[in-house]
Amino acid sequence: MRLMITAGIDVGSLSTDAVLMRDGETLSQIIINTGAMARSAAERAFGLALSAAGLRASDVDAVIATGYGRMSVSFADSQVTEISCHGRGSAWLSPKVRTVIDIGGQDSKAIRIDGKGNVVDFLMNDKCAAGTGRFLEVMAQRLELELAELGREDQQAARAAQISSMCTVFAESEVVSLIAQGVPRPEIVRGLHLSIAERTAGLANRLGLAPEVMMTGGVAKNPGVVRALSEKLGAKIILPPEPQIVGALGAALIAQQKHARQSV
Amino acid sequence: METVLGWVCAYTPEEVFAALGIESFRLCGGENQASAVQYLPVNLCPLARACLSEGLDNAGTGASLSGVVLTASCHALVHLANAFQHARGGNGQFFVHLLDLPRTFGREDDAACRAFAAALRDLAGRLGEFYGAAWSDEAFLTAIDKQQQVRLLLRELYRMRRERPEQFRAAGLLEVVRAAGRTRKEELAPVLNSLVASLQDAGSGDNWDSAQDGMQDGGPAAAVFLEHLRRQGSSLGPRLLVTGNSLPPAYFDLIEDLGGNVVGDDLCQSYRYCLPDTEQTLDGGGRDLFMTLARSYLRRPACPRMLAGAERFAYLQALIRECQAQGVVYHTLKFCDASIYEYALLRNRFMEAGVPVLYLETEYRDAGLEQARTRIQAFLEVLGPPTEKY
Repeated sequence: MRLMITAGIDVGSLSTDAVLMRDGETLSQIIINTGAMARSAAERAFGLALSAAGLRASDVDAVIATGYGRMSVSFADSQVTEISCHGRGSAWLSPKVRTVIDIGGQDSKAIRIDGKGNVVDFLMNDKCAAGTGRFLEVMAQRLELELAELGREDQQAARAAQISSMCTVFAESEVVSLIAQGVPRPEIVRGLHLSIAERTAGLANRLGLAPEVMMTGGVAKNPGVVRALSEKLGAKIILPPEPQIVGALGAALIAQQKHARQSV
Repeated sequence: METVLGWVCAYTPEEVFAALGIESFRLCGGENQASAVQYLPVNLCPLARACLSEGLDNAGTGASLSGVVLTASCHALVHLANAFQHARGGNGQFFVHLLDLPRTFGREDDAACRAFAAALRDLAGRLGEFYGAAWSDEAFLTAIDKQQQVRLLLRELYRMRRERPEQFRAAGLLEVVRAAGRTRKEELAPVLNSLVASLQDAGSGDNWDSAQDGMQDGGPAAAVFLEHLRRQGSSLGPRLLVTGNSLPPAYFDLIEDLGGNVVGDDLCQSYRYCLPDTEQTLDGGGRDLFMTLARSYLRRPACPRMLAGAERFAYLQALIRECQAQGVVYHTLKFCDASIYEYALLRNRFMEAGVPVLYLETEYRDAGLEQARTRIQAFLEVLGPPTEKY
C-alpha cells in the first residue's frame, strides 16, 4: 500500500513555507519570501518542495493551506488557521508542549494546546505590526543591520536602551533619537528585544502560561528575543529545529488526519 | 425633503416620538466615517463617529435630520451630542437633546426609575415645544401598544432563528431590526405579522419559497425582509452567542461563511432593541405614563454600560442555555471603555463556567474583516468536535 503524502502551505505576511510529509516523515521543507502575490508565492513554495522531494503534484494526496494568505491558495483541499496548525505542529515536535508562542511577520499569538495539539484557547495581538517580525525588520533597516544580525548584535550589549513605544512608527522615531544621542547600537537592539518580550509576555500571561512553552515563527530565530522572553516569562522556551515551518508542518499533519478520515 | 429625528441608543424611547407624531430614524452608522473627522477625534468610539457621519451626510435616511436625541449613556455619546450641536445646532433650527440615563447596575431601583421618568417628561416637553406638537395620553398609549407589538414580532423572528439558525441570515435579522428603528410602527406591525406568519407556516426545511408565496398582506416590504433573512448555504457548525458592542453586518456574514451559526445575541441594535416589556396600562392606577415607560426600559436586562457585571453574567448564562450556544463572541469597539472593562470581568467568569469566549475588537468597519477571519475561524476550530475539526 502506498503511504499517504500530504502538504502544508503556510502563506504568511513575510514568508511562505511549504512542508511535504509522508506518513509522519518530513520529505522536504521550503521557506521563501511571500512578496506581493500570496497566490504565486504558494505555488512557487509548493513547486520547490515537490522538486526537493522528487515528487509531482499528482503524488500529493492532500494539501492544506494556512496563514494569512490561506484563502488565496486555490489548489489546497481546505484551509485551516495558523493557530490550529502551530498547535498541531508544536505538539508533534514536542508532545509535552502546552503553550505555543508564535511571533510571525505581522502578528503574535499565544496558544494553549492539549496533549494532542488541539487548541484549547488562544489570544492574538492587537491589529498592528507592533512587536512582530515586521517591527524588527523596520528597526533593523533603520540600524543598518540584516534581520539575522540582530541576535548577534544583542549579545554585545552591556545594557538595554529604554524603548517605550511599541508602535512601529513611534518606536522608529525613538530609535532615531537614540542613534542621535550616541547610544551604542547593541543597546538599542537589546532595548527593542526587551520591548517585544514585555509585550509578548503580557499576551501569554493573559492567556495563562502552562509549561512547557514552545516558540514558533520567524522571530524565534532571534536569540535576543528568545532570551528576553524567557526571562520575562520566567520559563524555559523550547525552540523547534526550524521555527518558521511549524505552521506548514502542522498543516501537513492535519491534512494527513483529514485525508485518512475521508478515505475510511 | 422630509425631516426626521435621529437617535442611537436602545434606551431611547421611540414611544415618546411617536406619541408626538415625530418621524424618527435610528442612526446605526455605516462604513463612511469621514465626515466625523472634523468634529470628533480618531481615538473616540467608532460607532459614535459613524453615526455622526451618517447624520451629517443624511446617508441612507432619504431625509434630512431635524434633530437628534442622544442618551448620556457613555462619554462617546455625550461627545456625539456636542458634535451635533456644534455642527448643526448653531441657529436653533436643529434639535439636540441629551437624555439623562441613570446607571442601574442591573438592579431594580425606584430612584433611578423616577429620575428617568422625569428625564422622559422633560424630553417630551422640549420636543413638543420645538416641533409644535401637542401631547396626548391616548396617542402615547397607542404608541406604546404598537411598539410592543413590533417588539414581540421581532422576538418571534429571533425565536425562529434560534431553532433554525442554518436557515436564517444573522445580518439579515440585524437589518430588519435596524429598519424597525426607522419605520412607523403602525406600518411595520402588519408587515412583520405577515413575515412571521409565513415563516411559521413554512416551518422547518427549505421552504422559503413557500414562505414567499404565503405572504399576502405584507406587501413588498415583507418580501424584502424575507430576502434579507434568507441564508444562502447552511451549516451545522458551532452555535454562537454574540454580545458586547454592536457588530457590523459583514461580521455576522463572515461568521456564517466560516461555518458558524449565530443563535443569539445581546446587542444594542439587535435583540436588545426587542426586550423592553412595556406595560400597556397606566402605572399603578395613576396617570404617570412616563413612570411606566421608564420602568419598562430600566427593567430590561442591562447593557455593558450599566456596569452590572454579576447580573449581566447571570443573564448571559441564561441566554446561552436558552440558545444552546457553544461559545460566546464578545465584540468590543475600539476605545469603548465600558465593554473592554466588562470583557475583562466576564472572560474570567466564562472561563470558570467552561464557556469558550472569543474576544473580537473592530473599528466598526469592514476593513478589519480579514484579521477577524483568522480569529473567528480559529475559534470555530476550537469549538468543533475533534473528529470533525477542519
